[in-house]
Amino acid sequence: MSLRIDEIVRDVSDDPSVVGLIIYRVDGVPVFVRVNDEMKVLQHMYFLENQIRSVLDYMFNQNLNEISIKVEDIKILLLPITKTLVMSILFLPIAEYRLEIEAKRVINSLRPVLANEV
Amino acid sequence: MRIKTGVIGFDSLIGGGYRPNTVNVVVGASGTGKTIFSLQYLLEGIENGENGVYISFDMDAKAVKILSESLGWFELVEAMENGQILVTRSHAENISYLNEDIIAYIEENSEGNGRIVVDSFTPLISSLDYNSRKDIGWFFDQLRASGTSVVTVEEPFTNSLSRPDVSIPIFLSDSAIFMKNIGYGEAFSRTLQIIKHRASWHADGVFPYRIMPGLGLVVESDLGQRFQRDDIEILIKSMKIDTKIKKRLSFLSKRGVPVSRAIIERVLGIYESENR
Repeated sequence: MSLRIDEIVRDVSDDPSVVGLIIYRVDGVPVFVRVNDEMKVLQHMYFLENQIRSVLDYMFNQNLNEISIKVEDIKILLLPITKTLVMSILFLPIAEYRLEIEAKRVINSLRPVLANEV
Repeated sequence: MRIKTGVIGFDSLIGGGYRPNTVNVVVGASGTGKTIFSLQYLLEGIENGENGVYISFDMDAKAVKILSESLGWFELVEAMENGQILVTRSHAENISYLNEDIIAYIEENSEGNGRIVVDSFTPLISSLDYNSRKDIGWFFDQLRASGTSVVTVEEPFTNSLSRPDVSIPIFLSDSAIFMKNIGYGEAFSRTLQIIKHRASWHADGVFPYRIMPGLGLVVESDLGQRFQRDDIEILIKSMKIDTKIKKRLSFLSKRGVPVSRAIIERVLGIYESENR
């Protein structure tokens, strides 16, 4: 499964401005991790694991399409994929708009793979 | 030599199977597939001509047969009927403590190399506290002497793995896996994580699995597709590096650990920068 996800998200995760891409399950468990800059990503991963449940709660109950958080020089973009999965992209906001468009395209490709068990 | 579990996609995550004469804990809440995992482990044994013992505190032989038939594992039913697999149901309410009767039963029927399943261990130890670690250790030692065991442990609905009846078996076991089902029917709703595997490599990560009639548990592991062992062996042989690290890397490669070329190169980079 991680191989399939990796192939789909590569267009975003290989972007030079992206330091990491993590897919979290609703309980805060990271089910897929692609890290380009370990040191930068690790300090934010623990923070995200603890926040992800409430972030998902906000997204689904307030009908938010996305949430972005800025921490120091890193921007974290959280986009829901399915009812239980959220893709978080950690990036240096230098080409933000292009990355957001690309991320939404990736989400649409991931949805059929991750939404159904079959 | 490794003891294959028979669970498709799982053995490659624990280095080829369980180590012989070990106690292997499977933790999971109700409905995650612990019993199916256990029966699949026994089924693999039957297919290899091995004997097995299944000890339950909830299910009797009839219930186990019904479950096996529902999965299409008629060989398991046949093995129960011809005595290759022994199923016994103990009444947990009568056992407030680990007792020697169970051990005597296992010893009598396993001949030191059998496949043993205790499903689930929780009723046996639910009344115990942290002071009982020694007793569980003793019980596990007896199991090791009798064969290779799968011991299931129920995860409380409070999602707490820190309770003594969950954490002590995990600490004292040779391997532990954690099965979880969040119940949304999505690809990652059922997942499995390997908490530990003593004296063996094991994969890190969260692996989705399915439960299907006939196949039982199928773990979606793509480690084999991601890593090419031959490439790594050739890479290590061709490298002009310190013999000490070359020896270590050769050992890693021979153990069949799925590792990428990029990781080998990074390890070498760190090693060389430290020894510069």
